[in-house]
Amino acid sequence: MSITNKLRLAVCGVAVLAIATVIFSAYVIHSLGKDRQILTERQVPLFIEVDELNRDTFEELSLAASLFVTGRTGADNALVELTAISDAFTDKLEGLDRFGDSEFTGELLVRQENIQRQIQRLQTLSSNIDGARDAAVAALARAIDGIMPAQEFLLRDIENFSIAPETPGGAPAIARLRRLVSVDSDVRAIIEALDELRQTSEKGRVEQIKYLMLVRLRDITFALTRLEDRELRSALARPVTSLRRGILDGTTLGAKEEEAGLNQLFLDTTSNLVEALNEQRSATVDLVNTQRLEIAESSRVLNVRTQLFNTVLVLLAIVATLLSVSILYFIIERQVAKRLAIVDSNLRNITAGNLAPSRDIAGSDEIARINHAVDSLRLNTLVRERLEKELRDKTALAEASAAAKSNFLSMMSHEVRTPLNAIMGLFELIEGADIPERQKRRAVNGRLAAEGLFELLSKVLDAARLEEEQVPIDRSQVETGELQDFLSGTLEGALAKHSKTDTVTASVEMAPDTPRTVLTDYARVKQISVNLIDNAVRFTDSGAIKISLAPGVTPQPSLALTVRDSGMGIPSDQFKRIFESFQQVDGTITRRQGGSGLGLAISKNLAILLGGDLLVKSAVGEGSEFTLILPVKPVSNTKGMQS
Amino acid sequence: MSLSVLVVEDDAQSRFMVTEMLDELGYEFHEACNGAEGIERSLDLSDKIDLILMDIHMPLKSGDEAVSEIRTSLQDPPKGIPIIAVTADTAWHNRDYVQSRGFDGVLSKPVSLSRLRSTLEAVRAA
Repeated sequence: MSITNKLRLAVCGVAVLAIATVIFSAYVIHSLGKDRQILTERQVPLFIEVDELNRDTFEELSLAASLFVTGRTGADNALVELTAISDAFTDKLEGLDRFGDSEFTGELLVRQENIQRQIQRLQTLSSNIDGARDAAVAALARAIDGIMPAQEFLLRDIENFSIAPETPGGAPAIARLRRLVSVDSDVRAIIEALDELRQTSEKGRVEQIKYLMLVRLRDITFALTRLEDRELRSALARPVTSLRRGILDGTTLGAKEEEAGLNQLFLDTTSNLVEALNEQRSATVDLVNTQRLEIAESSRVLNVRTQLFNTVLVLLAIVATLLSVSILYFIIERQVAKRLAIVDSNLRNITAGNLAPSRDIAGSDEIARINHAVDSLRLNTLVRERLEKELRDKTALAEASAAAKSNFLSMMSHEVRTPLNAIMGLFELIEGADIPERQKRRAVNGRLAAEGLFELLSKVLDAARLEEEQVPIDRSQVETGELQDFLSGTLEGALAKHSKTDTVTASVEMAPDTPRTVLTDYARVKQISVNLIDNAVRFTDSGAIKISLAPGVTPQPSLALTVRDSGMGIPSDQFKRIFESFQQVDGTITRRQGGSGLGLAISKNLAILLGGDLLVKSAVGEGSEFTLILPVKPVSNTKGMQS
Repeated sequence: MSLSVLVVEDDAQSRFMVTEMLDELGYEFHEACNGAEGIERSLDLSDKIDLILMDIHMPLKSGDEAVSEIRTSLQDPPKGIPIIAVTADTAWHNRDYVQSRGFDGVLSKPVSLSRLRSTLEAVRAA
């Protein structure tokens, strides 16, 4: 896998990790928010349900209160009856007095006294009942007063702490609260009912209330069966049973034997009521305390959860960051840095010239490929160094051999020319001597042979020197008119020498706008001209040789010296070869036409050395045309050497 | 009156050839077979010789060195004895160059009778 792809994968992994973290955080924050919202939403229905439950509980208290009414009514009825009996006795006593039956009257008086005592007892009883009732109501009111602050506590706590059914212990807490809070409104209803009772003494009204009480009693009995708390249920059931019995019994109440029972019933009922209320109150307080603890616990759990989540979130972010950084570091260190260091050291080795085998890098990724390329570079450098060394050796060898050749040629020049000089001079002296003609001819041919050899030697040396660029150039202002004269003389001389004056027509012309002077090496120009003319004459058996001087067709002002012949011509594919040393168009020509084949090569090199050129234009059978171009002023960076 | 020429030439055959030519042309001559001897003879015979033909490439002392020594030793007469360089070296076939080296003229090899004559006559006329 390539480094680029590995890095891409790592970045993708880190990105996925980061996105997952963000999504998880968002989810947890959302669910926590939802929990709080549920807690808030639960508060309102909670209060409503608690209120309903309270009502059920206090209906039975209302019924309990109606017991007093029943008892009171019974006592009142008995009193009225007794009063009526007493009155009847009084009437009878008065009647007896009138009839004067003293024995019977005495008995009646005793009875009358008993009745009066009964009435007094009943009156006392009645007032006692009133007192007991008032005491019961007061106790009830006190109990309620005790409940109220507890209720307020509870409500405040519910407001302060949010409880959700989902939180641990939440559901039972809410259930208990419902029961407790409903106590409040029902207590108020009972107080109102009691007040109403106190204010009314009408029998009809009492009966009506009694009926309503019975109805409510039935509801209470039913509601009681729904109560979960068994203890509370039985505690409440006892006064309810008593109440029912009291209410039912109260309708037939009137006999004095009932008084004690009634009295007892009142006391029992009242004490039961108070007891129930106290139980209720203490239960409420307990529950409120329990609830406060539960709510506090729920809240604490929620806070712990939130904190835990925050911690987890931070840890998760840190772990994710460390993990991604580690992965990236691992990849960069292992896959990039270490391997790049190897490439670096390999490259340094090559740069420093240490071409020992370089360290390899496994794999086929970019860095491995770069390392392979570096190794190829090393191998190439090895090969190149070897080639360079060979080249240096060969160059040194070639230079040495060239120098040796040059020295050899110089030596030969001197060593060969010196005896030739003597041979030629001595032949000449013999020629001039007074000797037979045959001897003279022998001397002439000997001299000519020596002269030919001398000429050939000169050309070979010139060619060799030109190739080594050892020819000094000595420039001076050359008059083109003088050059023209020289050309005419040379051409005539050459034709005469080859005995072609009669068969070849010669002409030397100068165009009107030809440069008047040329700054060049006159001796070299002459040498080139002689070569060209000599060639033209040698290869032209009949026809014409035309020499012209004209301005050259070049960017810089120049002189064009053209030698045109009507000779055999040169094939175009030979144009390049004729300017190479020791070459003629055809090897056989040399033997027939003579010449060393060096003339054109020397001329071409000299022309270039003078800053000009030597050009050829020819076709087989149509003659040849050689043009020497000479700059009027030499360009500063010509190859020619200034002497 | 015939002129006297000192021929400084290391090659015996060349020297013989030149002296034969001088004899043919009716000149007296003296010989020296290298640069050192050339200097010696020029100084010894300074009042007897009218011209020196000096080869350039020679053992012991070259013609070039010989001439510079002769020129410094022979201050009188001021112009000195005419010295003609005799050489096949094309570098020396330049009058200006030859004169800058203390020579009065140049005779290129191979030496021909006619050119030797014209060269000597030119010096004689001067």
